[in-house]
Amino acid sequence: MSRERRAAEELSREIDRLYATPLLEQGEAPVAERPDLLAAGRLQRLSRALPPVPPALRQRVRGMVEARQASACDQELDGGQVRWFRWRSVACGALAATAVLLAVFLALPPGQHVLAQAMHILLGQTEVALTPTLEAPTRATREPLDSLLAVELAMGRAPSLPRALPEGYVLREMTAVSYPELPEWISQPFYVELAYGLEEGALGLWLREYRLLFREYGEIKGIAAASESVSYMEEVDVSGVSGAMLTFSQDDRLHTVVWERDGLLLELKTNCLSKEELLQVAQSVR
Amino acid sequence: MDRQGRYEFFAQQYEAYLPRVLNYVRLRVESEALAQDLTAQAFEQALIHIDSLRDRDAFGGWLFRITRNVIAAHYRRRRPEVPLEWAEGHAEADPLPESSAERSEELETLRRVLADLSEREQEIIRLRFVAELPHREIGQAMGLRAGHVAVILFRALKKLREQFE
Repeated sequence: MSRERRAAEELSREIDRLYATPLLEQGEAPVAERPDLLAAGRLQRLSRALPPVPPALRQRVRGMVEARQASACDQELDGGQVRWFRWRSVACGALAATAVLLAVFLALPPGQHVLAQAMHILLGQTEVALTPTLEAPTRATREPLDSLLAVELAMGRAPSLPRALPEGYVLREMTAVSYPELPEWISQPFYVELAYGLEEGALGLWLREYRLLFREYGEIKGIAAASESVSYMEEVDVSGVSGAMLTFSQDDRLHTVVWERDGLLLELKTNCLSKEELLQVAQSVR
Repeated sequence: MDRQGRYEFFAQQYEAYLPRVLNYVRLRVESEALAQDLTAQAFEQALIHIDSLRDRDAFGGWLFRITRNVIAAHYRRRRPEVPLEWAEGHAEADPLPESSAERSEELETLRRVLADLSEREQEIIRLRFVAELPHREIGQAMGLRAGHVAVILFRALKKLREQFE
């Protein structure tokens, strides 16, 4: 390091000390001890004797600083609000979309199935099954049966049969009737029809037997005509159970008795017997 | 340091630097009104470019670098006529206080003393004794090493000693 450089750095340290000492305490001592400091001391005193900052300028700069601080604070708040509103909008939109999708999903069979499963899991002892909406079947297949054994095999149980028939009437036809368009969970044949009549001549009495699953959980509690073709309906007693006697408007000789017994829905109809004769036959069915 | 933090730091520092910036500018321009206006401009520019303040310890050097740029910009756009901002500065500026004659004499003395020095020596004297910056920050403001600043200052003071004796 050169001598000039060392002297320069030493002088700089002296100047630093000069500035660290208040003017009133300096006196002339440092300057007297170091002639190099003479100019520095004079420059310091001259500079500090310059006019003070005018109040207007001080106010002007202070106003700028405070305005910038307030603006930065507002921007920070605005930014926070914008972020909050943006996230809230996104969250509300997502929530609404989810609700709509959930509602649509639950309105469809897959959703209902999931809901039923969830209820089954959550409620534990509750069994939930969904029954799809059925349309009236339009096509039936009729399968002739050649014996009561075939009837029993088709029904999966022994059929109920009338013990008392009008004079001369015999069992002439047995048919299993199925509706292929019905869902698979409905067992087929839908019913079995036993047709009676005189040995010679037209058929005059039909007994339809529908397998039901009421068992001890249900029974026919009331009867109401659901078809406009029913012109007359009355409640009748069929061997201790409630049944319905129906007459149809297209043919006043067409009568039907409907009742339920031992897990079977029985329908006995005629187009040639009286209602009293028809009821007697129904009451003999076992 | 985020922007809000920079503004808070600026608010804590500017009062101490305001007289030093003003006195520095007074030595650079002829008019007191213009000096006040350019000083306000320097602080305004500093606030606008607050994001460029990386190191709090270098605040003085950073502020005087901006102040020098404001003065340089003023001289670049100065025209023969009185500039608009100068006129506005005149209208808004405070008159000098009662002892202005004596203090103006100090200012004139400083100008006269510095007149014989080179422009770089003058600038270092102004930044060291009027702006009261340490060598490191003078170096930052002028783009020089601190050791180089010390040598230039040493030579300048040597020249000035003869005038003051």
